Amino acid sequence: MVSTDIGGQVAGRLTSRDAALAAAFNPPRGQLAVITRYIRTHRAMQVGLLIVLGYALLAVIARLIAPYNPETATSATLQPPSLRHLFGTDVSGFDILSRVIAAPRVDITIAVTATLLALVIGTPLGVLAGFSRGVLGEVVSRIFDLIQAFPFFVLAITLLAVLGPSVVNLIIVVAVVNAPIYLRLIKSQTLYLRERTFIQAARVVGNTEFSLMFRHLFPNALPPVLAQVSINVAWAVILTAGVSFVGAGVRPPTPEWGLMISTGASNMFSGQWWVALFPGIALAVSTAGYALIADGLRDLSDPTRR
Amino acid sequence: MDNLLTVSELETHFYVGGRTTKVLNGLDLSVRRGEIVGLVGPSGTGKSVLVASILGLVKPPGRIVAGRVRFNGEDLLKVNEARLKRLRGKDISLIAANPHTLLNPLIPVGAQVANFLMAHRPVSKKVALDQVLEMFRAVGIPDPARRLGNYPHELSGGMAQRVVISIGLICSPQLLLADEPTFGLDLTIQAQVLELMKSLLAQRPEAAMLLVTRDLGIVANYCDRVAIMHQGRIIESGETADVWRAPKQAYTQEILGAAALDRGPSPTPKASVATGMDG
Amino acid sequence: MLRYAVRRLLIIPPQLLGISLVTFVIIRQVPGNPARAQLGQFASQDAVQRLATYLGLNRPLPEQFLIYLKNLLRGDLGQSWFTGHSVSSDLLVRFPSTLELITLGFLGSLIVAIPLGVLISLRGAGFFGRIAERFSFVYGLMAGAIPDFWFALILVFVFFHLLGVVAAPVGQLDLAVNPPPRITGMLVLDSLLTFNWVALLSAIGHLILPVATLVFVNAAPVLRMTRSSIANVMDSDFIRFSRANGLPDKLIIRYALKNALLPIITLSGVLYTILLSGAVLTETIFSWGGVGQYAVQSVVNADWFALQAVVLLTASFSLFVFLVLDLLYAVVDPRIKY
Repeated sequence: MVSTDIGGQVAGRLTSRDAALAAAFNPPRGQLAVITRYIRTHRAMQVGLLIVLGYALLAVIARLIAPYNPETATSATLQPPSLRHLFGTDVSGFDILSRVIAAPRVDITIAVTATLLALVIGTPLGVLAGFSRGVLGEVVSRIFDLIQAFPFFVLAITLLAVLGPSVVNLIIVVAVVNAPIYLRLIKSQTLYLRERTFIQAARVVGNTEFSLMFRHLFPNALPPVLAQVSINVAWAVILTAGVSFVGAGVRPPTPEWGLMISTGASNMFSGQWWVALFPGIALAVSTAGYALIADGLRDLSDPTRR
Repeated sequence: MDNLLTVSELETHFYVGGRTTKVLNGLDLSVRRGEIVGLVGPSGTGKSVLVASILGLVKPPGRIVAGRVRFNGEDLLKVNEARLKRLRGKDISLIAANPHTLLNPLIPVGAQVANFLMAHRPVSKKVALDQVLEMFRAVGIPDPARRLGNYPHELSGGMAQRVVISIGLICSPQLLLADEPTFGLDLTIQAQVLELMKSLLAQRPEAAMLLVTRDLGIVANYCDRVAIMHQGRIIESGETADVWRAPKQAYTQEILGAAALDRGPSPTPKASVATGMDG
Repeated sequence: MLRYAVRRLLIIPPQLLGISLVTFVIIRQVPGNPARAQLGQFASQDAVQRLATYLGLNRPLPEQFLIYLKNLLRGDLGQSWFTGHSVSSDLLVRFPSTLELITLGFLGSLIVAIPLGVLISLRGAGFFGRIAERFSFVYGLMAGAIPDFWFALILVFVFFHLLGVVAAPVGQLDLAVNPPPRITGMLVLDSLLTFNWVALLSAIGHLILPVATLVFVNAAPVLRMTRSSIANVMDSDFIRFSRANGLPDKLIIRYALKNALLPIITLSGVLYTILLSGAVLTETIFSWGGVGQYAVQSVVNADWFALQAVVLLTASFSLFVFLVLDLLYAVVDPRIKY
């Protein structure tokens, strides 16, 4: 008996899921319309976008609208929230409201830049590690494993001690700590997609390895990465705050949430709750915004969950 | 009524990305006791969705919007879930392709098949395992006693498929839904498996099988009747020999090739049916 | 499998060697001369030089490293100039404290998150299901967004300052209470073993807030992973096949849980290793006297031997936990053979 299904066996079986995936990522012009329509209906993502854009706006105009200069001390120390100082003042007399809204500029700059840097470093290396079946991929993976084996917080503050606590160095350090995450993510995506039938089909038709890597793997590995990016920006903000909290990061009097929480920590024990509370809330809301966007992106890239 | 299964005007729609796709668009199909009906169609969701609709397992974003699925006179679309659960595996069972994805990788195959048996019959585990052993022997698994304790990954494709067939047959169902049961298997294994299913069914004339496939050779050699599916409906059906000899629809002719084909060793028909998703 | 475990154990020392080497080099780039740091800025240059020579800081780098290794093999991790004790004795005191804290935090997270995750996943639709789903969404969002050190402060403010129901957040024991004799170094265990109920109560009282902080932050990722893992399994072909052939719901759930276990185990293991360094900030706030604080302190004070030892300790811990994880996989998943 001769099987007459030769064509089918060669091209592989397109299940509905593959078809949907392929349709979602090799779309014609309709994609932008799909995205905007999606955003319009996905409330969580709207909230997230609102928050992030709000903070971005603050990053730009905060110093213009702040009631006091965020870096100038007044004589009104440790005042509870009042009409003159809506968020109160800290032990040195800084107005907390002004500092809270001026902080996004620092935090967001660091977090976004560092995350993008980590992405730029980690992604191509990840594709390399996943795609190459030889020694090169192994070596790259092992090196990044080593980076990840370090306790990340200790690594961060040690590197900062080496480089000096400046904003640029902070960016570099956060990027280095986060790069392995992207490497690992991209690598696993690449490994997974490498074996998928439509890649094999492309190979059969004659694409070279290199063009395969870039034309097919890259666009399909990217969407989960975008969700990860959003989350990472949030982590970067928290890492920056944590590092500044122990004194290894941003230096006073630069307004930064972690630093402000650190200043207010001991106050918390004695009941002056406002010093550490407001920066913390601002930090938490900002992180929540990124997380919501990430959730939205994740749902977007998984067609079965739309 | 000899009809074991009668599907009438079945419509199953899928809502994805704001668009409605009518995967099943007024589908009529019947299966009589004692026969093997082949369902032929383009690769993709259509045929599997039909199988899911019969079993009542269509999940969002899909929905059955109209039609009737009569099994032994009972309309499956109108009964409650509890009744469906009683029917599944016992009166209507399913086997499908890629056996390794159908079996639980963490549990030995003997226990898995036994679980299905115990779900529908009040037998003890020991008795169940004995019957599973018998079943393994009947489906031609060599050294069946040892295989009972194997995990799915320790079995070859052909053996794993035989385990899946065991699951499908262990409760002696009246209707066996076989969704591409031999896809991906070696050609010789394919033949063995199909011969096996044909002979097992021959032993039970009150049962029937709906064999979903893209492979015309399989249909030609094993199916009494054939139904051609295209764009969500059955456009042509009848005795396999008749349809092969004189296909009425253009689409059927296209599939079978310009020349009329005999049932038997065939001259090369034009391309396969795997033309991709239509419409 | 035993052979595999042994093989993995044998690889650990070379890996640690690699980590030590890299740490060694990095640390020595930190500006600040330990000799100067010890003697203070008013000491004479001469005195600093003599101390530097004594500490071996003027020898070439490779030689310093070899000396370090030689001492390491003897069990001598060097001296912490800041505390004045040998680093090994410092760690011996601090490590159990941290271990106690993070283990309780870890177990607490699992106990909270996994049953909750299972319940939510299996409840599905319906009134309770939707409420639980909404709750876990908000909780996941909050727990991921709220920094642990800030949360700890809020807890302290509410429960200590406002309500006064917990002990002062300083250290592990009330000042007036005598600690039990050191058997394991972990207060709860030691108190239990010596039937010292006063100390036990005090220790628990001091553990509540820091553990609550850790649980709040870490239960969220476990919860999310549990839910997504179960959802993935429920969507898998073999579950659908089982359902199509009428397997009873109870069995389907049991199958699903068993198969969902692997990613949950992975995440938990990774979380545990992260906790070791991630608990730093919590430790700092509660003046816990643990490894994390020690690490930060040693960076700030250019206490090189201490820092080196902490990195080594953390790395060994991680590698060991990863090994246990891999062995656990083999137990759960018959497909994995070594």
